[in-house]
Amino acid sequence: MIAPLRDQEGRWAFWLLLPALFGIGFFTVIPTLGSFLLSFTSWDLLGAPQWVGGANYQDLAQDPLFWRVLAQTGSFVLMYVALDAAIALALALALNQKIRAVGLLRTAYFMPVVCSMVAGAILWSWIYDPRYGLLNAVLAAWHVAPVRWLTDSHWAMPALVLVSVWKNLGYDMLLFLAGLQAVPSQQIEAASLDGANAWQRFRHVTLPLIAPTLVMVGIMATIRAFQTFDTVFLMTEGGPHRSTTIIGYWLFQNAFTYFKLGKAAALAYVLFAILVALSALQWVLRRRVGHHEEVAA
Amino acid sequence: MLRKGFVALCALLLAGCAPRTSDALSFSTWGSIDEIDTLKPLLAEFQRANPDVPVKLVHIPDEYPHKVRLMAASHTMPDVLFMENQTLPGFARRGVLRDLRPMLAHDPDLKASDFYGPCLQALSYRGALYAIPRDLSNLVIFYNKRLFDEAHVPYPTAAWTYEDMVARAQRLTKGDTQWGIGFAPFPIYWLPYLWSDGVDVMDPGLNRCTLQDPATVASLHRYLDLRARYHIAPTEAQVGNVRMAQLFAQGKLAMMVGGRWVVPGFRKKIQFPWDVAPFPRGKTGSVVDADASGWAISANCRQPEKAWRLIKFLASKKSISAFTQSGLIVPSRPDVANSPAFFSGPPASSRVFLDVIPASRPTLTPPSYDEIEYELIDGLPAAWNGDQNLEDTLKPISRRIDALLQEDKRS
Amino acid sequence: MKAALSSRIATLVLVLGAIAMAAPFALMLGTSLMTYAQTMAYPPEWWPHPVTFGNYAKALRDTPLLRYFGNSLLVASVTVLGQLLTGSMAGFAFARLRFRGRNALFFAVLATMMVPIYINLVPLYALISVLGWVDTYQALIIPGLSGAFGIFLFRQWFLNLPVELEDAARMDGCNPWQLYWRIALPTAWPAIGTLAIFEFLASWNTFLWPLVVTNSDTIRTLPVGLAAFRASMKDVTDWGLLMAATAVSVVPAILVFVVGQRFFIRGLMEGAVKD
Repeated sequence: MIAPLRDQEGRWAFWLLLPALFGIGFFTVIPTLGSFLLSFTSWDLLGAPQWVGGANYQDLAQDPLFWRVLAQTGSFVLMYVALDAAIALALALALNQKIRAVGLLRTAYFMPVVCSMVAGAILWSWIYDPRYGLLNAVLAAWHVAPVRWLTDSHWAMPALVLVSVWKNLGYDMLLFLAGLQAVPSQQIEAASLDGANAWQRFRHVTLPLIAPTLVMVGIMATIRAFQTFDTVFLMTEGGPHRSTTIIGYWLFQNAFTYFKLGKAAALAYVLFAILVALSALQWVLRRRVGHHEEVAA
Repeated sequence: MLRKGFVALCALLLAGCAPRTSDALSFSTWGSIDEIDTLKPLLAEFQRANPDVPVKLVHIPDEYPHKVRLMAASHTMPDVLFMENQTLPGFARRGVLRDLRPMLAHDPDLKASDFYGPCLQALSYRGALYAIPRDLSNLVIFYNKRLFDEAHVPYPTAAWTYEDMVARAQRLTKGDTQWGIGFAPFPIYWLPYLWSDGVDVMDPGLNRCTLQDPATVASLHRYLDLRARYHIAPTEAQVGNVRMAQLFAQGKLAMMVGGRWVVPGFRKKIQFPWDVAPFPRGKTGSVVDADASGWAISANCRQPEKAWRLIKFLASKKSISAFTQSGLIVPSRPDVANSPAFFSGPPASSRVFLDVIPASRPTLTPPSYDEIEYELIDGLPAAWNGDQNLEDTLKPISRRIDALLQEDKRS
Repeated sequence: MKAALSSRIATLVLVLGAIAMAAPFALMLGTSLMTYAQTMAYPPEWWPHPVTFGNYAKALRDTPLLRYFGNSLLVASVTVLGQLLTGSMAGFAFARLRFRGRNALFFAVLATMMVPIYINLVPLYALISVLGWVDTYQALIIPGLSGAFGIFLFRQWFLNLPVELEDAARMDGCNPWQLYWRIALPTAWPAIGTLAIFEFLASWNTFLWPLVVTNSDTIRTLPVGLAAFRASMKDVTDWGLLMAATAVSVVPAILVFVVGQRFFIRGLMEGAVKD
């Protein structure tokens, strides 16, 4: 009685899948392939793209700015991930104790997450204002000279890192919390009975057990950081003196300021390669780390 | 239900694909409010004489070449476009502009000989003419006659040299309240120093960056010396990022390198007597830029004859005189240049703008010029402000410009 | 004793953190209630006195802010509807229907989530350009009507549909469409809520794509409009006015979050698990 219907399921499936797959195919898959092809052409938006083979990749390799952008992106990502993971973990540990008013706290931590990056950039531009901003006012209260947060090439990058950390901290904190809550409390109690103090409990029991979560959050934060654009565009425009030009921003510039769309497409694929490598790394690490956890338990 | 949705989607898609039709001629230009105020009555007069050619003015005050390119990509390029020679090749080489030579040749009234040769050359690309010129843009030295008189310094002469200029400027500098000559980081203002010494940022074939060639370094030093050695030019520490034109108008600067476009403002604001002189001779001569702007027709324009009528009107002696009247431009037409429209009002030596034309040259602009200019504007101030050795500053800039020129060769 | 102390430290740390998170918003509110003169007071004052609502009036009346707001609302709403429909249909098909290549196709769909926006940016823009859709609602809405995340979410949900329900429906002679529309979808409120909130916020806040694809004020969405508004004040920024405009853009997002907290957080967690 049920069997006859199954023959035709393929047809129904086709119609049910069509709208979504058409959209994804047309607006994601085809552009992805198109971008790959485009990376082998030279195109300035006028006329037709011209085939240049690997010239764009060659140009990137011999462009001193490309290496500088890669290095700057790398250091941005490192700073961001280190700061974000450390603070989010600390907060998650705190939240893991039974705390009251969780709802209110959660709202506070998620306000930055749900507002747009543009709003965040505007708010922080005001905070970073050299003359009227909150940060320099706080510094002034401690008799420290004002810092030109966004116009000094030493401070611009850290300033942007701080904004990025503020923006997504709530999210990463939540992920760590989920990981912490999955840690069986008996193990912690057992360690406590053995005389371990808080730090030792954390170091030898908790940390190994949340290692997979650490890896996951770390890699997600890394991938997120590599794709940063909004903050740079809105707060420093890649400056001062190109010190905050990172891949996403430089890609946008190549495409829509300098109209070197082939070069921009090649750059996008370099970024894609990095992200794929990172995702593969995450996958490998998670299995290895997960395996360790099983062995340890 | 699904079917209805599908049909609706198709309808939406098709609606978006409908071609745009309009009978009016679209005409894009940049320009300040004053320029537009000069343009609007002209357009009104054109409409009265040509009721069958409605014109729609598209004013794009900033990022003009950028926006025009985006319009070209989405098939909404204006019919008539104001263009300038530095960004024109980028469009011409892709075939989005119309070659105007046939229309010019066949026109009974407008002729190539109506315009200065360098103007037409500047707006040509690979032999074809893509815009009818309105003006020629070059640089001269503006000088404050009162400061010269007070210090008993003789005015600049027609064949004066860099050394003459430095000598005069030294006598006109007073500590940090008054300076002899201006200093600006933008390449447009210091390229004449290089060109007059026979060197440039790139070689004529646009193959490599020549910034580190000994002759070029020597020439850049001659520019830097104005600040670092002779102290006759204001430093950033002294005046911040103020424009030289502003300092000059305030009477704190005896001489400055500038173009005709400052004249309307100067006529309004300046109380002291002032005049212009040619750029001082360097090692090989006195060479400034010969850039031009003019009106082009897009290749896809569906009414080229009507577009030509508009351009013809705008390029007539009468219209170009109207633009010249305020002192804003050096006209592209000798008949206007030799008329009161150009000569009346300060500076008395307006003739200088015309005399320097034969020796001048258009600015070289390879496709990556925006990025090259950025490297120069962003990287050189370290040397200009004395924070870094000039030779050290030039190294990374030169490397990047070389990379960019190689890229351009390949595309 | 120890537990109480560590609990107190934890609370302190969390409260300090929460203050750091919320401080910029408090500043936003405070500044939005100040006149230009008050914002330019030096040394800076932090509490507006007297409080002025003039900035909000000005932002809503004299700037295109309301227009941007309307555009964002339109785009986000239609996007959510599209995502809900296409995602639930496809998710159902992947979860409950059997057909050849089902798993491979699903993994391919999942793979598209890995592609960074930059890869598609230029060709998509070129496509939009060729279609003549630059500066139109179509460009803002249509590319976002379907997505792998929605499919993933609904598939997860429908995988857990009780088999008895489905068997009973099939015995009654339901075809797969009816199964989806009448039986499965009505039970999927949590998934619907999650995707709706998630996609609404994503669409409300997205910046890069609308930036690239719009030029004029009539079409701009809130993030791009806000950025343009700020750029127009580059030389002399009226921070009070800017903060009021920012507040107008931020408050709906926060409201949506407060109302749909559970759904939103579930959506975030699902997004992490998929990796």
